[in-house]
Amino acid sequence: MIAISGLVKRYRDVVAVDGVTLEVPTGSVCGLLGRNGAGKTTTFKCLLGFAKPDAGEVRFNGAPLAPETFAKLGYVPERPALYLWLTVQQHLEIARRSQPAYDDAFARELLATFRLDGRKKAGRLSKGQQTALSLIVALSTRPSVLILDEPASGLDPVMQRVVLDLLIDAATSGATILLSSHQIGQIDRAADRVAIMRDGKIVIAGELDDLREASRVVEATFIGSVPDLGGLEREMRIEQIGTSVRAHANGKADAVAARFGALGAAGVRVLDTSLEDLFLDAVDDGGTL
Amino acid sequence: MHYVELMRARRVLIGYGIALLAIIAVTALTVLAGPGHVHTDFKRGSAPIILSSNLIAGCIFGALIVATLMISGLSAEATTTPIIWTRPTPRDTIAWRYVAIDLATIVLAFLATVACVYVVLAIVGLIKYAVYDPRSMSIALLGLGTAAMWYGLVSAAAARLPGRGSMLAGLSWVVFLAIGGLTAAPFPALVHGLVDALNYLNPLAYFSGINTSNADSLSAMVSLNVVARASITWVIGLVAIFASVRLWSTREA
Repeated sequence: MIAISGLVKRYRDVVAVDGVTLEVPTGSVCGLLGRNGAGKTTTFKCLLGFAKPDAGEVRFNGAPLAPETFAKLGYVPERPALYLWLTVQQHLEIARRSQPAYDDAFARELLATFRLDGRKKAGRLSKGQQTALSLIVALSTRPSVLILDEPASGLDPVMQRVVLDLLIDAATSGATILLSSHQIGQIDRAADRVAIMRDGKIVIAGELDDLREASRVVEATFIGSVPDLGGLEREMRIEQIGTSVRAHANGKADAVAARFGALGAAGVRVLDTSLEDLFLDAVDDGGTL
Repeated sequence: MHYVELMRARRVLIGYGIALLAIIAVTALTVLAGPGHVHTDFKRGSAPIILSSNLIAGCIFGALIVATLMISGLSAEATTTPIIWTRPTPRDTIAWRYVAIDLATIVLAFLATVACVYVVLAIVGLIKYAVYDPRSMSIALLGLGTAAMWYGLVSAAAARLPGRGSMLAGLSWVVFLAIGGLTAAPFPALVHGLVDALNYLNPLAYFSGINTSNADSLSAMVSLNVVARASITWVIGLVAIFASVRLWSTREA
């Protein structure tokens, strides 16, 4: 389990992380979303002890971060951090010598999965292959906690799928995973929980299914004119376009649909919300991710 | 984790070893090319005396070169922080392992240089004139202390400048040589005093004038005997290394 409470990180006048509180239960995959500069990478840095938080606390399986934590923690950074003058095999040797839980057979299996040549120097690998090597090093110890910052960036779609399957397998085996990605489809596929950051704060967090359920929209079409909605406007956000009304149902989609029916709507539809809709709504901007 | 530094040390030593072997090869080829290139037959009474202390003093520059090549080790880890800081080992332990490997590499380079010099003397036929000098050990200690001081000072300067270790190591030659030279410049008293004070942090200052025949001190920039100078270089070196380890292991990435 990863538990973050009240995390604050300031760089001079800039508050990069502003009171982040987040819990990722054991065996869960949590996707951390946010626009560039939202504070995701700084949050990861604070989690891993690369940056000292100004306030707040981080706990892994109930214990604060200590060197021993890294025996069970794997990390894949946003940009591959490799020794460009060392070979792929030598990177595995680093992991073998420094990680007690290193699993050589699994590492070789991953090497074959990603089709990496062990004799090749890291500097001669493509960006995608470097990302793959970072993943292999992180996964080679079968960690119980995985923190991944854009784990599939630079990988082709087939390899992206492989990575997501690996993460799902790890979570199924009990690993706790926190990953960020700009590719919402990846989060949608792999994560069962999501947290969305904006300006250093978590603005939405929870189980993906609950969030989807809570954000379902009910659309009703009336003939002639829209009748008095009986105070529905005070309970939820209502958008009206001509004789059509969209109600953000806050988890009460079925009840709202029934009310529209009772008001004489000619047609009522309950629309599922995609993670992308949720995200765009949360960051309050339809710009690039 | 120190595997990386072992690989880095191996790379530096291989490069340095190749340079030493090239010197030996060139010397051997010169001798084989024909007589007259190196005169080793001296008349009675004019035979040279080659003191081991002089040879060792010269060999220290090999150690200094390797010291400046090894300094960048921890600083270069700026780009690989996600690997080096996510190991189940305290950061200062990682740093001390690096330092131990670096210092061992410097000593190995020094010994290799000494061996190379003696091989060259043997090839040119001058080894019969080499004489052991009891000061050799203290000069070796001073030389290695100079290398340790150099390594420590530049490492401390680079500890909070991730990725800049190589640049600072290169610059250190210019700075240390310049400070030594400036002590002789006709500055006003205040500036001169400042340069003299800075010179106490100049490893080369402790190594100057050690081979003068009149005691160990008179022409030296730092007027102390060799043993005292060796002690100071080691103390400054170790303090600087402690500082660099502390600064490196507590920095933010």
